[in-house]
Amino acid sequence: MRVLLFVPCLTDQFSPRAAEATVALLEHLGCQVDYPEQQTCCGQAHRNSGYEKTAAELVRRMATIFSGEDPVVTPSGSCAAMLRRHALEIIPDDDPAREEVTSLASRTREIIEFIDEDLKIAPDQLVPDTGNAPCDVAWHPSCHLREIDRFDASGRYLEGIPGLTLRRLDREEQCCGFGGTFAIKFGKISGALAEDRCQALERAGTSTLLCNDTGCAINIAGRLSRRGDEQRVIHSVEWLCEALGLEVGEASS
Amino acid sequence: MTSADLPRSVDGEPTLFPRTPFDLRTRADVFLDDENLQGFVGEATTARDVARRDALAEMFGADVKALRHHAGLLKQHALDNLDHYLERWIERAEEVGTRVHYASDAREANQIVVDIALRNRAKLCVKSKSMVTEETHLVPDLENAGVETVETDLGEFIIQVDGDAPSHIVMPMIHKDRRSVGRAFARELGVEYTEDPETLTRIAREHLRKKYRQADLGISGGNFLVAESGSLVICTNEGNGRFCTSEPKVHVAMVGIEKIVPGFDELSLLLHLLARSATGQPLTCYTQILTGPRRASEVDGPLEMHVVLLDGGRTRILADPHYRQALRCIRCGACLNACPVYRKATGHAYGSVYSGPIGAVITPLLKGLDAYPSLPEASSLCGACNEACPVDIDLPGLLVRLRRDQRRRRAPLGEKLVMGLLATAFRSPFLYRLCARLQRVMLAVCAGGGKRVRKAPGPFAGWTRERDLPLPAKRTFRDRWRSRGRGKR
Repeated sequence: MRVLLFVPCLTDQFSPRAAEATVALLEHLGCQVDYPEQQTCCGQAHRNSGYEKTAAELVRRMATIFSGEDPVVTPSGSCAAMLRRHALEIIPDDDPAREEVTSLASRTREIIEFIDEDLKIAPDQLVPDTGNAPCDVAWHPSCHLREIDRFDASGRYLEGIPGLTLRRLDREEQCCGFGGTFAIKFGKISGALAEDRCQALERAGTSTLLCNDTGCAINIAGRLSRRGDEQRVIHSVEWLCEALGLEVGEASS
Repeated sequence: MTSADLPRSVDGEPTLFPRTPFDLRTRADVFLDDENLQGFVGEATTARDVARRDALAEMFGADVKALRHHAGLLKQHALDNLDHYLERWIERAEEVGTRVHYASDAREANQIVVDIALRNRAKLCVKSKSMVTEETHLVPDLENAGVETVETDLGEFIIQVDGDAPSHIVMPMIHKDRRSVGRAFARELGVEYTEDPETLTRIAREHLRKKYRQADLGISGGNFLVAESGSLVICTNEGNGRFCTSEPKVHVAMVGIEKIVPGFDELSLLLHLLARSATGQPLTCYTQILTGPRRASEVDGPLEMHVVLLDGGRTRILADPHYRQALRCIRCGACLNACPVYRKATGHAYGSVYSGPIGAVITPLLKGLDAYPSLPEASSLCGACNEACPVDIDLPGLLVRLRRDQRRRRAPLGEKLVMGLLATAFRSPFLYRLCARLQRVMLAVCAGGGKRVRKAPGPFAGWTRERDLPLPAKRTFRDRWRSRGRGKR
């Protein structure tokens, strides 16, 4: 199966290893991965900040670049939600690009969702055991998984991996405080929310946190670093590749 | 009561009616440092949020989502046909002897109530909890007209005794602890200081019982108006609502026009959802369905029943097909409990009667976006509010829409510039790569040779005051992909 890879701008710059792991995992599962190099941003930042016209323009651009019939897979829940749900909200019904955007919306998948619901690979078939990966990890469901109906489902999927203890954080439904420009404009509120996640992680007592969104990951990791804590925050696919012993390119930094 | 007596917040401004334009941060940043406050609000909201989920799941299992959606459509239908249902309700209500008044704004609504009070020579008024009377700021107007007005909901009573203001739709005193209640009771009611909740409740109860017997006017809000019967529905937990609406000879209810539901079938579903969403109860302890004043054959109940229907900006919201859904709200407070920002900023930070996500949507709609420009921005758009909403209001979507409207009127210059530059970069992979490189160079300078930025300049200081910023990777995914020699598409 041919798959078009969408690597959101934050992931591209701050967490390229998550994207490389996505490629490694998809290829391991027999997919032919293509990365359209014209891609940049899905328009989420502009849409969320109220710049709807620019967001619509970026959405149309994405729809052209990712045209066709192949699934579009991304390691980010929030960008998947942008293309799946919000893209159609900002493209009028009579817009010439409406059909193309509708097609993109219907083909966009978050990576775990794609493996679970499209490839229909059960967790124990995907990973027979934890291999060289840590077998005790915590999980932060990123809020935007709600918008693609994966908030509970992705955690449950990972829980199905044999030998893996997936720790749920206290108040796991509470946002880490990222929210794009929110984290800058409302720094103190955002910081207090990040602190809550760090304390919850401390109570969970694991050294690894899995999180499927680069935004949340750099927010929580940034706060951990400020606290002087040592836990690492990685994407689920990075963990999966470790468990499968797949080669994943260079380190992130 | 004069404006000098109004409860004031940490910024010295009246708590729920501050000078505008108002910025949520001026208060939130102070409240965040108040460990006690953070403790009460964090624990109470989380507990209610868990209770809501459990109560809904226990009754409706996997159907909760579909049910919320259905309830949303019911309320939406009532709003889409509000003129029809409102007319029907007025007709039925007048048939059973209810006197119906219509107020276009807060001032008019309060004047109607004051006039009723004066006409009946009322001296003492007992009042049950009502958000809409907070919105119109009714109590000071009644007191200025010489009518002593006593809040009878325990939380609201405490707030009134202590000269404070409510900070949550359902738990008005969520920001207070029992010690502050004990101090207020000792100071204002002349009782011995105690912080035992049971004793405090008993003191309030004894005080209020006397008031019920003496009162000549009862005031309530209303949770629903049932069009098919002209009924007013009031949901309470303490029984005070029953006293207020049955003991005094005159009962006045002030209700927003959006409270209309077509009939009892719709009411039934909404009652199921309201109590579970608000407090995790299957049903509120008291659910009153009031259809007219005392009839000739009856021995108790008020001789006069009035309903003041308040517009207060609602028809303006109704006129907009997108914002209209905000009027579905049944004031359960579930979105406040679920909201990470409410949990941290806490209610008074919103500078308005309505706080939390629904407050961030309807306050700017009711009072103007220019007066409350920060409210729609104060959200990470996490979606917990929508998931909690029993009538499925797309709160994050409405917040984004308000942001859009705000930018269309006047976008902040700096932000407009940054967003414009970003847009230019995003239109071209070449410029995007260039900007990504420049950004890394700049951040690397800020990091001073380290792996992370501990102190960033300009607007990014909001980030680094609270946490580090990891440096972007030396090579982006795009660069890595290229150097692997993969073919271009």
